[in-house]
Amino acid sequence: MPTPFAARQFVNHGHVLVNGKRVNIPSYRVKPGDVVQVRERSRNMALVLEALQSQERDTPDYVTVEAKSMSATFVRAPELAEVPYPVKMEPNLVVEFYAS
Amino acid sequence: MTGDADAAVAIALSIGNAPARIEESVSMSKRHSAKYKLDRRMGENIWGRPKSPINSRAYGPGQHGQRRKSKVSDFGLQLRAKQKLKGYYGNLTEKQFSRIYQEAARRKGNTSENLIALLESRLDAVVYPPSSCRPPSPPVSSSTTATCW
Repeated sequence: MPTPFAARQFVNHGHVLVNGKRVNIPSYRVKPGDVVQVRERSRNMALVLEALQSQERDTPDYVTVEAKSMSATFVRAPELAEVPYPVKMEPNLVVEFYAS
Repeated sequence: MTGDADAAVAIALSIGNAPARIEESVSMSKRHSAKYKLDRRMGENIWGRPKSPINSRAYGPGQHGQRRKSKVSDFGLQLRAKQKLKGYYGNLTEKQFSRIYQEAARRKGNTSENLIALLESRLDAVVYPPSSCRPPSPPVSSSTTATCW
């Protein structure tokens, strides 16, 4: 998905299956080991195809992807350093914010 | 007379519109402010998007955005860090975010790592490609085919 907003809409419109069941709740908490998949009917969407072929890319360690079935396994929750934020995030300051 | 009638209609219309707008602004979970406003407030391109107004208007939003910046307090730094992290996930309300924080604090281990882990476990965050499909990251030459959806 190009943006977090697009991702949210994609989930909300029911294009995504988790462990074979359709989940359209963006805030759904994915557990380690869950398989996230693009729904069969949605696989020919321009958005999906574009995302698939846009480039060869490496996924982070915490997700393993199987391109053929358009599915990905959420292996484990990532650490801060593993999430490719475009900008620097400082969760320690966020913790301070709530702790104060 | 017709002028009066027009005015009356205009008033009636504006009254009719008012509740709808209020309703929209209190909608449960969706963000209703301009998303790129956050980019400008933070002075950073948060999602690494080419469209970000940071490139053309690198100052804060609003009438006083171009004023001299005052010194940011400790609290200000904390608040910005929080708003940035929350804003990155797009449509996250303060309530949702603070609940996620509380869960992170409750769990064993480092609270900030837990916080990131919980945020990234959201289904929309998992679907948002976790990797170099994000524009700013450098192109990777490895030929591992992976989905990016």
